[in-house]
Amino acid sequence: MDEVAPNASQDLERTSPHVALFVTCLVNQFRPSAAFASIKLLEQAGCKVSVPKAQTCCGQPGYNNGLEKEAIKTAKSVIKLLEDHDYVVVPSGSCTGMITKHYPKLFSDDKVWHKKATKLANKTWELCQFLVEKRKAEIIPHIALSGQKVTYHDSCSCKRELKNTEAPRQLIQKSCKGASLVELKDTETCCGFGGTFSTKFSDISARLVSDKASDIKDSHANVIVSADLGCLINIAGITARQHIDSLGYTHAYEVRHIAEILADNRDAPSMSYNTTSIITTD
Amino acid sequence: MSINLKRFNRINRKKIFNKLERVDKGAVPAIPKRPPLLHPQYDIESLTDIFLSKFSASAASFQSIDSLTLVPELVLQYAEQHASDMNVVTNISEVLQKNEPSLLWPEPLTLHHGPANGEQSIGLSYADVGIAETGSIVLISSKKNPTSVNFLPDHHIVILNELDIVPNIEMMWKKLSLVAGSMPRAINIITGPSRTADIEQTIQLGAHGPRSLHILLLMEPA
Amino acid sequence: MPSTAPHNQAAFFRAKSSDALLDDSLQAALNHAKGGFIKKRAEAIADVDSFESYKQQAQLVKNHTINNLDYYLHLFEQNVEKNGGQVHWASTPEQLNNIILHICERRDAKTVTKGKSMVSEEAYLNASLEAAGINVTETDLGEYIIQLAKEPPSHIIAPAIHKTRQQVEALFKEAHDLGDRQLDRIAELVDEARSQLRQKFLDADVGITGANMLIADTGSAMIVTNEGNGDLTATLPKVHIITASIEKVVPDLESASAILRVLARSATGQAITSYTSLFSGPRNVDDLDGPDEFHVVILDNQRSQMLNGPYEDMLKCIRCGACLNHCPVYSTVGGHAYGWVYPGPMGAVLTPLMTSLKQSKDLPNASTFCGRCEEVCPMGIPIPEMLRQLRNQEHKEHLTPLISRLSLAAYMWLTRHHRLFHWATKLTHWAIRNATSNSIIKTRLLKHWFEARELPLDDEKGTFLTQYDKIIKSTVKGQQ
Ligand code: SF4
Repeated sequence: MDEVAPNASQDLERTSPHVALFVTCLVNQFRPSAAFASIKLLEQAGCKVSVPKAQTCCGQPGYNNGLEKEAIKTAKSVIKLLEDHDYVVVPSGSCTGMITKHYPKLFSDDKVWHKKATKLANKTWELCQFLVEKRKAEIIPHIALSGQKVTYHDSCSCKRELKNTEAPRQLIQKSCKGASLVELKDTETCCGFGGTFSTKFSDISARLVSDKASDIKDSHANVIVSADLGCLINIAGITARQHIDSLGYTHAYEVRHIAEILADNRDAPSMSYNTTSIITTD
Repeated sequence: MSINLKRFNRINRKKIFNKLERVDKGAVPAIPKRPPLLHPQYDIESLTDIFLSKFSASAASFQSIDSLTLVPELVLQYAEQHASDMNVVTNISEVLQKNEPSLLWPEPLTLHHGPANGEQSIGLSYADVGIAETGSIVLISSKKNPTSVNFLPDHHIVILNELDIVPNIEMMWKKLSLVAGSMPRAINIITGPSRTADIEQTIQLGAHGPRSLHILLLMEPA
Repeated sequence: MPSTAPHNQAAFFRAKSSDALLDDSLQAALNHAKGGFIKKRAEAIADVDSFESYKQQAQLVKNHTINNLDYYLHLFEQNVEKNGGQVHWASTPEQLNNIILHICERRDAKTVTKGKSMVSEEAYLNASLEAAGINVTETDLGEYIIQLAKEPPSHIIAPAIHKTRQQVEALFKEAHDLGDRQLDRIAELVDEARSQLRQKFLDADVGITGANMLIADTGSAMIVTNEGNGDLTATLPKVHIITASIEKVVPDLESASAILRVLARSATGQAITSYTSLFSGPRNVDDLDGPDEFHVVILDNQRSQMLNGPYEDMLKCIRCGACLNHCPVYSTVGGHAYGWVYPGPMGAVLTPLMTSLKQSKDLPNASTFCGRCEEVCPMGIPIPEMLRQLRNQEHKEHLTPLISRLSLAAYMWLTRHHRLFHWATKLTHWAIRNATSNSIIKTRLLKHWFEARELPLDDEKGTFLTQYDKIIKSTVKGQQ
């Protein structure tokens, strides 16, 4: 990225860089195993990983819902928290995009903070993209998913904001030996989550994700991964509902964060297994 | 409702322009200079081939001819195969006759002159320009090419001289050298027959304009 | 005017979109349309060397024109007059209607044929002409269908996209005297419209069309169609009136060519449409056909307000419809849910700006910010960013629900107070874990959300940061 001096970046590549893991509010709350998997992958890639304790949320919920001033304040506190690390890695395309694309925009009228925001933006990476494009990491293969069909769902932020579609697929192919990577019929269309959109227009969102679910069914994949927890919560919810057995459990799909399958860190149940509290509607 | 159109216009015009005058106008020269634009380039040698390949994608048909004397016979053939009657509306027969004094119109065809009025199944025109980039023919309204001939008949037959094919849209405008104040009323860039996809996205030819477009491409004998 | 207010239904997006999801024939039509436009556009842009460079050229033209709008509108006006036509200015839709009515009445017009014009939809021109006793016929097939159905268009380039062929057949049967002719094939339906509209074209006193571009340098209007109805409308009647808006002007024909290159490819996936026509005035002395009066009515309708502000880029929109075709929300609920003339992503920006944000406050929120509209927009208009700006404005003007304003503000405050944030996160964790299926949150507050989704906690050990903290502490202890 432009603003990192070439010497400095070469140095970082030779030694093991200090990477701050920004886990994101959703992973922290709902998918600790994805965060542990991310740490494992980063350490395998030779990074010294730290987890800043004071991290919270990138502020996107406010930013996308009209609270621009609040978002500016939150961005400042995130910048302060993370600016001293060599890299910041985020297991989410959406939060990465917030930091790399939107933070600088928030400070378009504030030179000092714009510079700080740009500096942070330039060293912040989405996990898969960091491993492949920045670290050129050799990933450790495993055979745990041998014989399975894996599909990768492109989150809109990864796909459009970060132009990050190749890295996750490469990683899956390298790490999951014996598994086949299958593509959905339509990898362009949004799953319908859209953060608060799913609460404001639940019915439209539900229709969109059920279209996605029928694509998933047609793909014959049984493992569904993505780099964004929002999409995963959405997809897990619908796939669970469509494949519930008599006990209220579903076994049709394994829905996980991509880091979990890359690191073979699959102790946590599939996101779609947790259906104990599904309410059926009439 | 009666309004004084002139006054009305003056007031509205002022209102709109007041808002348009930009605050930072000082920096802008009185006559703005449009940035230069790139045009797609095509190989001059193969303009006819490019034209034909684009043109056939538009569901139009063509025949090549090496002399205008063939036109009446080909129009008759086309009419017999496609049209519901033998009425042809055209204003170029004199032009054809001038080039080919021996030119004769075969008996079953009835020629009409003037604008089309919906009662002729075939319109015959002479294109002013062809565009290789898009496979289009260009017709300029005039005594020889009333616009209604391009749109009212069921079938449109157009003569195009290969030498009139230009590479791209910009070259077409350039060739026509148009100047405000002496503009032709209508210029039609035509690419294939009339079509619609307004019902269930299914393409149907012959919505309101011609159901078919047939080009007689006049090529110099090799 | 009886027009504007009652027709603006944008306030009902929520209800209308929910209804749309349950409307079987609408869903059938939308499903049928889904993918068609997308595939054709993709093929059309793959067919050229560099669509990106085409886009760049087109954007250069628009950027330059928008920066010099006053100059080019002046020039256009001068040149139309040189060609023997007249330019009229309308600040509001009502004024546009008045001008057109005035012209029609002066020529004692009884019948009007119309080509497709979104600007005239903004003004509900048909209603105002009909109120004055003038018979109006829409001649674009899609527009004709919805005129029979007494509905507004649901798509800016395919106005009847929401109708199935069975519905069109029913409309024709009701409106035309068919005897026992059958119309079950699409070809028969198209032919039926062709024969019905033929006489209307020939009889009309006045023809009204829209314009895709106004060419300043030559004083011409450029009209892009596939059916040829625009050309018949512009050629057969004695008077041709063009409805356009201020941002339609471009400097010259070279500029217009750059825009043509991206317009049809983005819209219908054609390299160029069947007919691209340039109309530059009334008939010349030796013309054999054509109108003897030529008018261009240019509408502002809030557009000039967009200059110099955060929404200026929207003035570059060439109404290709690509953002509609690629929008997941539009493709699911259709155009009528948006409640006003312009649907989909571009409509979600334009409707609040041209009507009222208060009346259309749902529209900027009806987006997942997936970004596909911006990606496919030939003009590179940052639609999501503008929707976000509109959301900012809604927040500032207190148009959003108090409860969501307060809870978001509280949440944002928490993000800057990490101890409290984590305490709240833990509390939520506990609450989710212990929430029964009939907890109030699931059955009342976020009922619909939970109909399709869960909040799936992955284990019993609490949030990541709690677990990580424990591990760090125990390793530190272990090392001691
Ligand atoms: S916003 Fe862009 S994509 Fe949408 S109609 Fe306008 S030009 Fe086309």
